[in-house]
Amino acid sequence: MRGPRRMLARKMWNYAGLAVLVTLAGLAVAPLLHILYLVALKGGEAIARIGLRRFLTESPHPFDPSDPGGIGPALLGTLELAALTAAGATLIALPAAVLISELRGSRLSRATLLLALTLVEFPTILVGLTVYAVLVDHLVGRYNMLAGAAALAIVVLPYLVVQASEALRQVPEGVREAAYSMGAPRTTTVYALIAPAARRGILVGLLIGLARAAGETAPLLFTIGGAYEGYHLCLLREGGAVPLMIYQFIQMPYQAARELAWGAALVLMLIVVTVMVAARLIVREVRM
Amino acid sequence: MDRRLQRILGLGGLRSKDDERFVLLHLPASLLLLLVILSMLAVFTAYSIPILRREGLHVFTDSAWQAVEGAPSREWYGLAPAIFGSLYTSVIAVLLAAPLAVSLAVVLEELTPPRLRGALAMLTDLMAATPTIIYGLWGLAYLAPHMYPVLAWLSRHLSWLPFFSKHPVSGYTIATAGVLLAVMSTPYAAAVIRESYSMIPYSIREAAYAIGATRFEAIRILLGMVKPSIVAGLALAFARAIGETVAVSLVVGNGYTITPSVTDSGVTVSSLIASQFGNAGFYHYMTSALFVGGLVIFAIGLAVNLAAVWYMRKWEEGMGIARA
Amino acid sequence: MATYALEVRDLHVWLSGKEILRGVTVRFPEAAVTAVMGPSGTGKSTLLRAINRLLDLNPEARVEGDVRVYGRSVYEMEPYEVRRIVAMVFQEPNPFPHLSIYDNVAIGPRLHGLARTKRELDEIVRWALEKAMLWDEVKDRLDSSPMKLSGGQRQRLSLARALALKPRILLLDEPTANVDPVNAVKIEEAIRGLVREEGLTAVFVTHMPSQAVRVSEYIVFLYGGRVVEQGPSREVALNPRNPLTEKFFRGEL
Repeated sequence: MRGPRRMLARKMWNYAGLAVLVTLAGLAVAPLLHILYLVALKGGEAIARIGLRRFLTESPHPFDPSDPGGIGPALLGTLELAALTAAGATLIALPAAVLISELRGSRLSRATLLLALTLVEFPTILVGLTVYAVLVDHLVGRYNMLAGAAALAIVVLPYLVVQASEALRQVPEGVREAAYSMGAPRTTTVYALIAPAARRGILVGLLIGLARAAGETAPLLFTIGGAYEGYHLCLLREGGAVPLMIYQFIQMPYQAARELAWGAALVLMLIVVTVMVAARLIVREVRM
Repeated sequence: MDRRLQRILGLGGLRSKDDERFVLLHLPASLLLLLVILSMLAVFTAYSIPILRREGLHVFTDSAWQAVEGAPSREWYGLAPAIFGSLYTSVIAVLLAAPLAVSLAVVLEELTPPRLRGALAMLTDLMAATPTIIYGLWGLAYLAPHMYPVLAWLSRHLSWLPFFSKHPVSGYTIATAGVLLAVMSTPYAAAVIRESYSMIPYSIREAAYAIGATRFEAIRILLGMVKPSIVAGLALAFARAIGETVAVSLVVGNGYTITPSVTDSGVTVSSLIASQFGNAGFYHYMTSALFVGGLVIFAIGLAVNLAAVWYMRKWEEGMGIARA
Repeated sequence: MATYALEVRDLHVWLSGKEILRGVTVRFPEAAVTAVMGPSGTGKSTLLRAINRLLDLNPEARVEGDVRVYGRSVYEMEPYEVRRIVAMVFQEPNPFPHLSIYDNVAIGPRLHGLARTKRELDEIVRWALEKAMLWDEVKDRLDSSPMKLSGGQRQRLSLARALALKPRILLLDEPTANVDPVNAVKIEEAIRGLVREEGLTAVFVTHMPSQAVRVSEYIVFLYGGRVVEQGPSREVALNPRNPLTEKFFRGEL
C-alpha cells in the first residue's frame, strides 16, 4: 500500500490511537472523580442529618438508627496518631536523610538508602503484624495507641527518608560550600544552614507522610484495637482511628454504622485533599 | 573513631574530630532502620516456625483451612488458595493497570494542553494519596454491585473460557478485586512512567517527529525509549497490589478455593490475615500460619522488584549507558 | 535559470509572543546547497523548523506567511508528509538510543512504507548509510546500539536516518557544531555528494563563514529575523553589499 491510501490509513490510525490513549487516561481518572462525588454525596447526607458539630464530637452509636452519634474519639485518635507518627518518623528520618545526602558516596550513605528502600517494600499489613508481635503481644499485653503510632511511623519513615534526602541533595553546591566556609561544627552547619535551604522539600515530604498516617488502615488493624467510646489520650490503652472505624463500621449490617462510615470517609478525604493542596502550594510537583 | 569501623562504613575521608562527631551522631538513625528491618525478619521467622515444623511445605501447597478450637492436633492450614488469590488478583491488576498507566502518563506529558496539565497532575497525585480504605468503601458500595451484571453477562456468554466458567453469586469476586487494585495502583505506575517520559531529551522528541512520524507513531517510538520505566512502574504496581489489604478484603468475597474463574469469589493472603488474625489467638497454629503467609507475599513482592531491577540493569548495559 | 525546490514567502514567526522572524522571503535553488548564516539568536533554527513544521510541537509558536515545497504549501499538507520530503539533521546527534543502528535507519522507511520487502528495506538502509559515509564503519554491527558509536558517528547515523526517508530536501541545523573536525569534513563531503549525485536540495545552517563558502553554492544572511543579503556564495563572501554581512564575515558580529 502506497501513496495517498497509505497516508489516509496512517491518519486514521493516528486519530484512533490518540482516541484510545485519551479514553484510557480518562478511564484511569474516572474512578477517583466518582469516588469524590460519592463520598461527598453520601458523607454529606450523613453529616447533614446528624449535624456537623455532633458528628465531629460525639461517640458513635452504630446500632441506633435514630441517633448515630459521631466520630469524635476516632478523630481525636487519628490526630493523636498522626502527630506522634510525624514526630517519631521525623526524628529518625531527618538524621538518616542528612546522613544519606551529606556523606554521599560513602558505603554508609548507600547502605542507609538501601535500608530505607527495603523498608518501603514491606506491605503495611506486615508492619502491623510485626508491631503487634512486639508491642501488643509481648510488651504491653493489650491493644494500644503507641503500637499504632509505631506501625504508622515505620510505614511513613522510609518514604520520609527518601523524600528528605532528595530535597537535601538538591541544595546547590554553592550554598553547601558557603555553609561549610562559615566555620561552624559540621552538625550545626547542616541543620542551621543546609537543611533550611531544603525546607520546602522536607516539609512536603512531611505533609504527605501525615496524609499517609491519617489514611492508613492495615497497620492499625491489629495494633490499636478499635475502641470508639469516650475520649482519652492514653498511649497504652485501646483507641480508635478514622480509617479503621470506616473499615469496621462499613461491614456492620446497620444503617447507622454505614452512615457513620460515609461521614467519616468525607472527613478523611477532606483531610487528605487539604494536605495535598497545601503540599502543591509549597512546591509545584509533588512526588508520591 | 576506630580505623576498622571507618573502613567498614567506607568513610575514608574522615579527617577531623568534628567529622567523627557528625557521623556518630547520625549513625543511630541508620542503625534504627536496620533494627526495624531485622526485627521484622526476626518476628516473621520466629512466628513462622511452629507451623513449618508441624506441616512443613504443605502449608504452602494445601488448600484446607481447618480451624478447630481446643484441639490443636486437628488444626490444619494450607495457604495455597490465598497465595494463588494474591498472585491472581495482582496479575489481573497489573494487566489492567498497564494500559491505563501508560495512557495516563502519555496523555499528561504529551496531549494535555499546558493550561490543564496542572489540574490533571493534581488529580493523579490525589489518586495516589487517597487512602486505600476509601477505595475499599467505593469498591464495596459501588464497584462490586455494578460489576455483578457485567460478570454475569460474561459468564453467560463466555463460560467456555475458564476465566468466566463460574456464574457469579455476587459482585464480590476475584475480578472485582483485580479491577479495584488496578484503579489503586495505576497512579503509582503512571508516576514512574511519567517521570522518565518527561526526561526524554527534546532533541530526541524532535527527531521522532522530524522523520515524519504522526503523533501516535512518535508516541510509540518514545514509549519504546522508556520501556524500562514501564517495567519498573508495573513492578511497583504489582508490589502494591499484592500487599494491599483492606480494600481487597472488602470486595474479594473471601471464598477459600483455587479457581481460574475470575467471576468466583476468592481470597488473598492479606485479606485472609485481615479477616482471620483477630480470632487467630483462639487456635494453636493459626497465628503462625498467617505469619508464614505474610512472609510469602513479602518474598513475592521482593522477587518481582529484584527482577525489575535486573531487567533495567540489563537494558542499560544493552544501551551502553554508564551507570552513575 | 535555476528552478526552486523550496520557497519561503513573507514568513513571520512568534515564539511566546516575541517576533523571531519578521517577514522572511527567500527561494532555495534545486540541487544546490544554500547556507543560512547569521549571528546566534537571529532565527536560523526557527526558519528551519518553520519549513518542516516542527514548530507545530511548540504550543507557544505562531506562524504567518507561507512555505512552498515544489509549489505546494506545507501548511496545506499533513505535517508528517512534509517531513518525509523535507528531512532534517540537528545540531546535536540524536539517534534513538533504544533502537539498533539498523532500526534507526529503517524506522523512517517503515513508517512511510517505502520498502515492500525486507530486501528492499536492507537496500535502503545500506544506501543511506553509504551516503552518510558510515556504512564501512558499522556494517558488521548493525544490530548493536548507537550509543556505542562516537559522537561524530552518531551524527552521521542521524544523517543516514534522514536520508532513508528518501527526501528531496535536507535541512541541516549546524550539523557539525558538536563533532570533531575529521567527522565534520566527512559530513560536509557526504552532503556535497548527495547534492551532486542525487540532486538533493540542502539548507545548511552554519555560523562559520569558512564552512559556508566550502559547502554552499548560495548564501542567505539573516539578521534580526530578516534576510539582509542573499546571493551566490563567493559574491556574498567576497563582496558583501550590506555592511552587516561584511561585519559578520570579519567576525565582528
